[in-house]
Amino acid sequence: MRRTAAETEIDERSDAARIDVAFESVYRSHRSGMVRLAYVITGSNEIAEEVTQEAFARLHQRWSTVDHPVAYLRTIVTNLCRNEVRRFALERRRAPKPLPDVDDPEIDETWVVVCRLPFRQRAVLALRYYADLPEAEVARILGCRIGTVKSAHHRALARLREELS
Amino acid sequence: MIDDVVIEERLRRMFDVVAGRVAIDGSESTPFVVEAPQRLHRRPRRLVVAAVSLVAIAIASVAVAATLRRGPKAPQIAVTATPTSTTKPTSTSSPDATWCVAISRSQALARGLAYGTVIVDNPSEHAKLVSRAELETKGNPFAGDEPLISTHATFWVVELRRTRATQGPYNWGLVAVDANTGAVVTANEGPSTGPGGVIAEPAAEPPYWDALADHGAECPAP
Repeated sequence: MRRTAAETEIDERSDAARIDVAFESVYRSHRSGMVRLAYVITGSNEIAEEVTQEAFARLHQRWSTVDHPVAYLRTIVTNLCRNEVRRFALERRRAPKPLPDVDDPEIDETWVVVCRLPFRQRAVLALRYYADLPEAEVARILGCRIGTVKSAHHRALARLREELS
Repeated sequence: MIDDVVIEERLRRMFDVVAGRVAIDGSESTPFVVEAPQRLHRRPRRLVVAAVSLVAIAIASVAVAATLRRGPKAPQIAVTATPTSTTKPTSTSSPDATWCVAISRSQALARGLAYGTVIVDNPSEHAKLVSRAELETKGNPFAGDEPLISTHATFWVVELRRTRATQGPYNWGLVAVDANTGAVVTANEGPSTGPGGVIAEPAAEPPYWDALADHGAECPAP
């Protein structure tokens, strides 16, 4: 039985509506988490917002081909953060980043050292200790080997140990 | 000198506090104002989706045809996830005897799969039972992990291979599981190819895996 153009259009509309509902659900559930992740990597509210918005836009474009939206988002957010950190690295060297409103001197001190770490080391710390991800997933997100993650992790801890002692 | 445990604890606390202070418009961050992005309601491009599906089907067909054409010169390696098979798998270098280990092939496959899906999405999985010496043969992808490997004697090496294009960045993963305790000892992954980490065809087998012998697993009846 041939389907009419009107029936096909109705089906297409309902498919699109279903996609939008599913996407919005992911957006509502994970947007704040992604902004926070981007923030602890970049240390900038503005960049964190932009990066998250862009990551969701990309997710929406690829919605039908992405199996694990949250894993995809984490990867995109981390990669976009890397680009932003590179772009603004020079400016940051000139103007120290304002610290968040934190009263605890221990946290304050740790944050200062973490902000001075190279991108990969900081991202590894954020993904391990903030996002609680295993090393294999951190490696997948950063597009490197597990050994590289271990090495970056080790170096970051060594630097913290040295500077906080 | 501060202990690593103290630093790790401090890092967790710091990230929680700092992330909790993320502010939009300078105010406390929670709850976030949820607004849909501008491109939220864009309709999917159906023609593009259909074209991508057709390409994926064509690639899968070619892969199946290639597998069928392999014949006896390049036998399909290892045994798949069939749980209780005691048949010795075909391999490029078949060992003489099977070994008796505490962890079965299917248990090893389950552990490898649970660990490795973060490396390779939707993989096909195979396992081979090997000794430490065999695991550490030339070209093994676990170089640098000798301190981890040296305390174990026999391993199930679980190979996870991509079966279709996904957003994951790797072609394949190898997970070494202790054949007597079931502990995941180490793992490594194969190279990624393609723009943006997207791989459009099934993954090739790592050469190291192809050459690895499989001792099978068979225990004498009690």
